[in-house]
Amino acid sequence: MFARLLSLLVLGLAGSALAAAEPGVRVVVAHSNSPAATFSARPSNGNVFQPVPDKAELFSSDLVVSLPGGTLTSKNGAVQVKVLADFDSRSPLPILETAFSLAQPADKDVDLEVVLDRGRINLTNVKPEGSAMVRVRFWDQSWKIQLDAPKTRVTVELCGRWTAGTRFKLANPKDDPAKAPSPVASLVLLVLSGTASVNQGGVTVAMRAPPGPAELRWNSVAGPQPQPQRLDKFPEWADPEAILSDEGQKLAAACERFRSSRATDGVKAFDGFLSSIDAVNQRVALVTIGGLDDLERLEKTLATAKTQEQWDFGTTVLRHWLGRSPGHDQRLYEFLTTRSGYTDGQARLIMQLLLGFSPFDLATPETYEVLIEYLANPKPLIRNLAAWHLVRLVPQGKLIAFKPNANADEAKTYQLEWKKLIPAGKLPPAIKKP
Amino acid sequence: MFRVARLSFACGLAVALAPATASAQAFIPAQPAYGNSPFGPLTPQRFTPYAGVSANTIYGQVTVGQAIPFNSPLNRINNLPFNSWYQQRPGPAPLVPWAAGGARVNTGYMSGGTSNTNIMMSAQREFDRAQRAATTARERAVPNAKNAVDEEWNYEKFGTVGLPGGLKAVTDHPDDLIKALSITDESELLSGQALNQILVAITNAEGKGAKGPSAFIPPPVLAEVRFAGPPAAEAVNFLLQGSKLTLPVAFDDPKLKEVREELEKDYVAVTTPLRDGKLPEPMKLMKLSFSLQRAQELASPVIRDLPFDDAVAARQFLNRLDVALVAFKAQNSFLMFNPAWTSEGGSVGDLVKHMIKFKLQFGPALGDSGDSYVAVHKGLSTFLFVLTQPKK
Repeated sequence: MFARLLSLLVLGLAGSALAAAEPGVRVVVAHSNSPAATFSARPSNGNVFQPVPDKAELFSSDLVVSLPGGTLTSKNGAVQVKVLADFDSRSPLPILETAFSLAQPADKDVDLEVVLDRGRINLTNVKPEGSAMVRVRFWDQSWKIQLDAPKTRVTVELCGRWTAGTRFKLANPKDDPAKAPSPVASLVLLVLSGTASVNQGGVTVAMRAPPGPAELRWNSVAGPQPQPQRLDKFPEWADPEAILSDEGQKLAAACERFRSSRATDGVKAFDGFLSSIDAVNQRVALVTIGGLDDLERLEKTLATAKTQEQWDFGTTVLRHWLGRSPGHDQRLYEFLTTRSGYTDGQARLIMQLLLGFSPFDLATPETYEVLIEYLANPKPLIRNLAAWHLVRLVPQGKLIAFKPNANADEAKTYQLEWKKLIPAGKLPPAIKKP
Repeated sequence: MFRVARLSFACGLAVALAPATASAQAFIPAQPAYGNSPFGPLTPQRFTPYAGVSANTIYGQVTVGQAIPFNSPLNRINNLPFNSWYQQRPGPAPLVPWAAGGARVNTGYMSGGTSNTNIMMSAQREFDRAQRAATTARERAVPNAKNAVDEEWNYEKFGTVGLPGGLKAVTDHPDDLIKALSITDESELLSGQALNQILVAITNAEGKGAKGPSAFIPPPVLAEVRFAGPPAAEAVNFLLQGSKLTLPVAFDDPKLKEVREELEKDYVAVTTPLRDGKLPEPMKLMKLSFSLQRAQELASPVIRDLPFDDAVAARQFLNRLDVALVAFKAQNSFLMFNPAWTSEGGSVGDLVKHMIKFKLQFGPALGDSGDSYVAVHKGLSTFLFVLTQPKK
């Protein structure tokens, strides 16, 4: 009897150890507190995101993309995570969507382990008493954040972008991937209430909500700041009392409508919002498409864009996608050449248009001449990307009527107007700084 | 056993005290006294036991070794144990750290001559290039990381406000000159801005009657300098590249094969006499003009399908050749290029004179020619210093 019990115990322990140790084994690590389709999850070995049902369980290793307002609680009920959006563009970093994955905490003292991919999350200690510990991993960093008391809250924001003018280089399989060019990432951690300590992998700093040492920054090149920055009051972007503008409220409402629509019928939600006459709806759909890595739909939207918003903001979304993490440039190139039918030259051209131009490029008259040449390229995506840059580099060009879905003759006419504005071999007329 | 040991010692002593010869590969050649050593004039002590080797290198014959501890009351050399020095033989010294203690590096800069100068300068340039690249990368890393995200977001939302407008106007302001002389921002040097600032100062100094010697600029450095300003600047840029036309990648396209051949042939016909200081034939100029026009028409559909850098290079080439052609047609075109530049080089003073005559400015550096711009900056700065010295 005793031997039987012992063997059962050993089997049980071995099983749980195996589940914990074996990579790819999904275990429940948190519970969603949000209605259906707030979160979308993709298993680590999967390709497709699925909307997470109402108040469902969340599993380790799944990549979770969240609409603004999504909340979840760690399995042990100690830490709550809330996803926030930057509806009014006040944030220090450009946040479009938030994505993260949750891991089974390796350390016993850690209540929740979050691998932040991008976006902004609030972490709150919801224990009745005592401190809560959260491990936040991002890029090559692993920070332990101790939320000292109940209701202690910190916000963490992460964004990555390519430096303007970076040249696209196709990866060589023999090269060391660690030395490949990569975007730069920036992170801001701000204590919103209470006190917290942050262990940045060896160095622990004590922080508290303003007024006090409340803000800590990190970037992928220089690393973390040695000391948190003292703030006398909340910055505008993190002010809990801040009221959304009308535009911000419209966006928030559109997000909720999208969520509701997607909970009912996912495909219809995307099609409906993309083809909506309301630019705000289109924006929400575009951000979600980019967030869910739906490159096919994003490329098709840009190439066949019918509205200014689809063309203009869609390009912004694709640039955000590109800068999210290292390797996305190679992924996009591969997608363009293998699944979208672009040649190697066209794909490289598109990559450079997305990566942008350096100050040296912008001081070269031929940059503008070439962009104007691209306005007559047979590929609509290339024409649209060239136009996207031209109206930003030379705002006077916004007066020239642009149609993202122009035919060849209309594209030619548009090109001729630009040639009048910027003659060959000349720089654009100087713009007076405000 | 004892006999073998005695024999070994005797042989070693013989080798140690034997005089070194120019081509010896001896283990311990003794060095005859030289009039000058890095440590000062030698005493009448003629031999200093020395462990080293002589070797022929691409920089000349060098001897490297260590002085064996040997203290003589008559020897004024500060012969600390294991003092080492590098012994320079005829020929320039190699540019290696262990030569820093006593080696004199002869550059071709101020001393003229072309014997190992080009090789040596090439090695020095590589070393300087590597140092600069490392420093620049480190200095640029932090601001780029902080600003990259913000800049991209602002660009997406608002676009660019105030485009960089090419070469800035050069001023007489002393602060601008000081900034140009003590370069902290590499982009100011590579854009040509700093060089133009110093050029204006030199022009002003010479205008007041100042005169003085100037440094020598060797052909490889001159070949990498780019000029800007009037059409003569582009003409000189092309002529400095040689008689053969270097075409961008766009012209590898089969659609441009025929026009490429025409362009190459017509270009050589015009530039060969110009590089010899002679006027080209008007008919040949007209032919080149037609070829270029045809190339521009045929290149457009090719360029719009090219990756960005290749497309820009193609457009730049066509635009620059178009501008250069205006200068090729000028009455005084045979004067705008100094044939000696590509074979012998020239002095900074002559370069300045030429630039003033044809109203040339320094243009942005192309590709990997930053080191040449550093060299020209040094030459101009030194020349300005010489000109502005008070007369004795």
